Amino acid sequence: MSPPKSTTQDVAIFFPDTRFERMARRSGGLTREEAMKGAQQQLDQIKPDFEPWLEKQLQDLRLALGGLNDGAAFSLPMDTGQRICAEVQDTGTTMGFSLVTFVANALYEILETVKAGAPYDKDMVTCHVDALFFVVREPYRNMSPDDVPELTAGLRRLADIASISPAKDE
Amino acid sequence: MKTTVNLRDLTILVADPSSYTRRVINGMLRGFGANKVVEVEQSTGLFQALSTQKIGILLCDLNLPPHGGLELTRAIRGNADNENRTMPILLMTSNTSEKIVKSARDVGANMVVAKPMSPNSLYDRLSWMAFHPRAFVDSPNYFGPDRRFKIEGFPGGVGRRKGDQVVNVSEETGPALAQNDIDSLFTAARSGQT
Repeated sequence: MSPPKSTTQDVAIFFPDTRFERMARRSGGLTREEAMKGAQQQLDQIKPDFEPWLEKQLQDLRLALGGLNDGAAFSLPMDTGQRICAEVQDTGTTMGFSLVTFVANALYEILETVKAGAPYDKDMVTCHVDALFFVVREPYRNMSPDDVPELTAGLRRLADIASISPAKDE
Repeated sequence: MKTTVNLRDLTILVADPSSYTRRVINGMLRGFGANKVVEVEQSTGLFQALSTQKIGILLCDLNLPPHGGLELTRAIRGNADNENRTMPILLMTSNTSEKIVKSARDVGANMVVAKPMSPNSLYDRLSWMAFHPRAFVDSPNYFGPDRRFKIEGFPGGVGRRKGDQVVNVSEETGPALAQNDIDSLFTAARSGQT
């Protein structure tokens, strides 16, 4: 660690000279182009496992949320549903399923409003879960949200409605 | 001459609750040349890894259970006895609201990267951290990278410090479209907007 670059009364500013900086700057590394090519090769190897994993996540999502009724308070099944939405959302676009990420994100946000006190709307949630099963199929699976403006606009409207729903009376 | 990043033999800690997400990130890093990627799914595993291994860089999900990435970052930066105190910390999140990004910056994260991540966005940020190191600030209220991130002159137009550089990152074209906005929130600290 280098000595403090400057100090005032209670403040020190210094350059820590981290292991990461030292090692990442060594010669023999990959150029951006090489790194992108290598990463894509790795992702291509993982990709065949993505669809079975996604299918399992969606089944678990339906199972978790399927038994909830209108007005239900935020609960463990919703927490599970939100976790699944987050996992699907985090990987969908990276694996080429942009619409899956979009819909999972929309459902995540709706469950977030329930967590904040908005009433649980079973139809709205079911609509999103069905949409997830829908967009993993051909020809939608590799489309982006911009390719299906009516679907995305419809889901956005639902999310807007969810976000302005009044909280339940205590 | 083209810039290269060498991740070989550097231990990279990936902390994310989702096994598939960890696998994707691990794959990207191996594609970048990394050969020592350690994965943990909870903060308990993270602290264990930090206490037993020399970690080069931490990639941590903001919602890592049970403590969350913000609290973990605060704890790592706040522990004066921890040799990993100054290691680069990159927080990953799909919640890129201004409040979250500012919070990440203010607990001492080096960078925030939006999920879902593309290889482009991850590589750019690793490269950025390797070749544009930031000074650390040690003050009674804060320990971490200088939050005056992108150098654009001091508030009030005092001017630029000698040696300050503008950091160039390639334009985002992948899924992390909000990344530039995230980066700009770090920028804003220097210009007195936050």
